[in-house]
Amino acid sequence: MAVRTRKIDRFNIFIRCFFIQASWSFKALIGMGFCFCVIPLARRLYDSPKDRSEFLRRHLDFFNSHPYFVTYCLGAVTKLEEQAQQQQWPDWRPISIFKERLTGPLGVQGDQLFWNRIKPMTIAIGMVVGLTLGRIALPVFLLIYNIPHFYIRIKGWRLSYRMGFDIVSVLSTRRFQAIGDKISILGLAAAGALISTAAWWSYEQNFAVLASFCLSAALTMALIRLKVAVKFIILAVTCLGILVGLLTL
Amino acid sequence: MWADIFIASLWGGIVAIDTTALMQIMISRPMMACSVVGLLLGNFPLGFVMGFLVELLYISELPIGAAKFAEGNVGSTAAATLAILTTRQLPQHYFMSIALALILFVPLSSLGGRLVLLKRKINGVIYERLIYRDLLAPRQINAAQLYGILLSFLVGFITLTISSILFVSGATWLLSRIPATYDKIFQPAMGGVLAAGCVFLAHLFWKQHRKKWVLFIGLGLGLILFVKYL
Repeated sequence: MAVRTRKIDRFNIFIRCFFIQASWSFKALIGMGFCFCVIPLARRLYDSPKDRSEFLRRHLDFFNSHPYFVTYCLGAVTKLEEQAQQQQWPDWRPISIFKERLTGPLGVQGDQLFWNRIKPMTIAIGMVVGLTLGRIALPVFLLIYNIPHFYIRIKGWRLSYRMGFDIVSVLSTRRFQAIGDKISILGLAAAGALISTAAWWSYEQNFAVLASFCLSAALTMALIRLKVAVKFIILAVTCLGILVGLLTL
Repeated sequence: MWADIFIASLWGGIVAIDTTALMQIMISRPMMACSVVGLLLGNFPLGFVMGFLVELLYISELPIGAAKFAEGNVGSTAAATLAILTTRQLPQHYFMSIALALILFVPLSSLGGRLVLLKRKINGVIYERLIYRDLLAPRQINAAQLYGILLSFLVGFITLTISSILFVSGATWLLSRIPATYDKIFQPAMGGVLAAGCVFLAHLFWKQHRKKWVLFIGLGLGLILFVKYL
């Protein structure tokens, strides 16, 4: 029975984190995915099927995190499991509690930073490039989105494997909030650039498209204020566009 | 046409996998997914335009935790497939095909979203079976994960197949009844949908930071960019 993982095991765990959301369920959220990620750890640290089964059962519990930020927990858990083996911990509850404690922050930080800020901002930049320069927008978008994506995954993994329990201090709200604020401001500017670029693109199509663009923008703002569902707004602006076309024919 | 539907459905499966199951490197975003469909079906420009039109429509619906969301990525891929296959049969009905695809984009996204929910429920059943086992083996967890990926693929594949089979012939029949001279009437729908997307995006960031000057700088920058490059 080994008490330490090898580099190949840690690489295997890291690669598995890309699959973590595949078995997402309402009962465990990404609990089963987390268990899938730590399988190389079970194979290295435990020899008997019974011990492996107990290990897997411990990590099959409810767990949630943003998929990119999960490495902040995976690295630390790998480190702690090694320590538990080396120092013969009497029980593994501290690791389970640690995972529970990280569930909230990892989900919130990731959702706020990536889904709410980086993704919309990079899409806006991609669309501005697309409307001005054409198909080059596609690789540009993939590149500018995936640089922070892979950076967070790799940094989270390295840092948490080094720090173990102390990784909690890195996940302070203020640190990511400050980055998020800057991205928000950049995103707002990108949204402004997109609006003017899209309006100009509409004008280049013909005047009716521009008129539809302006009217639909006003209608969308009004409907958002009235808290109308997105699907109805989409149908409303499409119909408005056809109506404008009918009037300007 | 059947070969095209099959190829588009395979790509739809990959889009669904990237959306929720694997990697999430954003090749599933409408601007990417629709462009690839365009490339596969031999009409890249139309796929590219469709992707840009629908890209921002569901930007404010965040796939957070257990929240229900419309599967806009698969929906947009299905809509682009529909537009491309319809335009192939009725080239004079170009804007009509786009407008019809934009309207069908909403129910198709809802269908995709419901299939995602079903997939998650099936995952829950698999999870329950695993936790009540006496002896858990790594290969069982691996298999469960593989089922999850397969189910995600099926979500995209089924949505694309059903929508293409149901709507392409229906849309062709419907549009062929309308004279092609009316095609231009449907062109402004593109501007309308694009505007809605832009407003959704601006509203998302406006909620986070209400700084008018930043928005105006962006507006000016966009105009300069456009004038300079076109």
